[in-house]
Amino acid sequence: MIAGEALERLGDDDAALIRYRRAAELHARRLAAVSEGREVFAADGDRGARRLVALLVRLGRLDEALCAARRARTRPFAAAAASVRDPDALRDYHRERRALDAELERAWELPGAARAQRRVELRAGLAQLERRLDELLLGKLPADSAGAEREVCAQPAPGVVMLVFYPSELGYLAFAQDVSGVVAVELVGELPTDPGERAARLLDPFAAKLEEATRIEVLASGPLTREAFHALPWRARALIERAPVAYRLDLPRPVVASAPRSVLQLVPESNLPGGSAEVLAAARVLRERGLSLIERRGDEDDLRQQLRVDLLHYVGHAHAEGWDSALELGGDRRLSARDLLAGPAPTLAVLGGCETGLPDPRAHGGGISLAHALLLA
Amino acid sequence: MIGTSSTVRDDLAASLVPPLLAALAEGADPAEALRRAQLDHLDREGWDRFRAYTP
Repeated sequence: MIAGEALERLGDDDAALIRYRRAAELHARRLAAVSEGREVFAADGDRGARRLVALLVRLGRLDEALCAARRARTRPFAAAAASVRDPDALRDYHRERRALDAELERAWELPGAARAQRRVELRAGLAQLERRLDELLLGKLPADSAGAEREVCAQPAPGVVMLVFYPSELGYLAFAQDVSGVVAVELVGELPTDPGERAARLLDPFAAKLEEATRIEVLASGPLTREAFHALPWRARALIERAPVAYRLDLPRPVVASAPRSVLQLVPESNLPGGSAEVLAAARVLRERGLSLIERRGDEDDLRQQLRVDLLHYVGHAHAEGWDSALELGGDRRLSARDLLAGPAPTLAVLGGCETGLPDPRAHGGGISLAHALLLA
Repeated sequence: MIGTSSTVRDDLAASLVPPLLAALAEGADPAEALRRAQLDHLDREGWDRFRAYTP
């Protein structure tokens, strides 16, 4: 890295690029050995990729710079998204998990001290099982991962404007790409807190592209993953009034749009006064459109298998905590991000609880949230 | 996937989510389905906490 920076200062940009690429690859290899906190580690230690992106921008090689930024951003997800999962090992995990969950339920029937002791033992068993699952989900990259990385730099479809924000030494390198090409600017320093001024900094450099957009896709990193781009003021209205806004993980697979046929409505008991109104109204509109509706409270033995539906509608409490983010199903029951990653998963989901898509501002692509887990599953 | 970026009021969800699901059931793209539902709720605090996450 230091050598790359020295070469760049001496004006040998080609040699510096080689060094930066090498540093980025080395960081990617180190990443493969990290399981806990992989997404944050990926963002913290990617100085090589940052220098690479910045140098490519300075050289005017914007397509390459954008592609390098996108690769660095999605790298921590590559194994979880594309790993060749061992179906037998996953089946074993699900079987053992069901047994442990059942034992945790039965432990409530034990007398005081015995109950506490048994629950401690079972929770330790659960933590061990979850560590095994993490290894299973993140253990290896597929043999064709290089091909997958090439795909990640695919061009946007006609009408789509992709906004990419990647950290630089002075702030952010911001890119906008559509079928006509790429533009890039550096956003130096802190962003204004006033919404109008903030929107002007983030969006105005790309005004010409945004005026033509039929869809806007946001690929942010770091603290900007929490920015509500769709609500930013744009021409005196919210940006979403201009076009739909999607927050893209940037996985190497297409978005498949088709009308769902089966729906799972997952509604644990909760203290949400508006919850039952949402459930009833949703069930009515779904039935009116001929969808087959399955209802679950979250305490059923077959719950995980029932997640293999076209559409999941969740109404209940949830919280964000990376891989431990969870849909709260009542008592000790929960569906964590790693549970969702382990599949089976719905094709679409509307997760109505709090923080179900809350990004981690320390990670490039927002880290693992419940919504991201479902996209990766 | 439709998720939330913070806490959400359950009365807002009760009003916004059913039309969102209706649009999805009719085959609308998730980002477009959410946009349609949100445009009817721009005067409600917290409307912007729902987001469309895509692969």
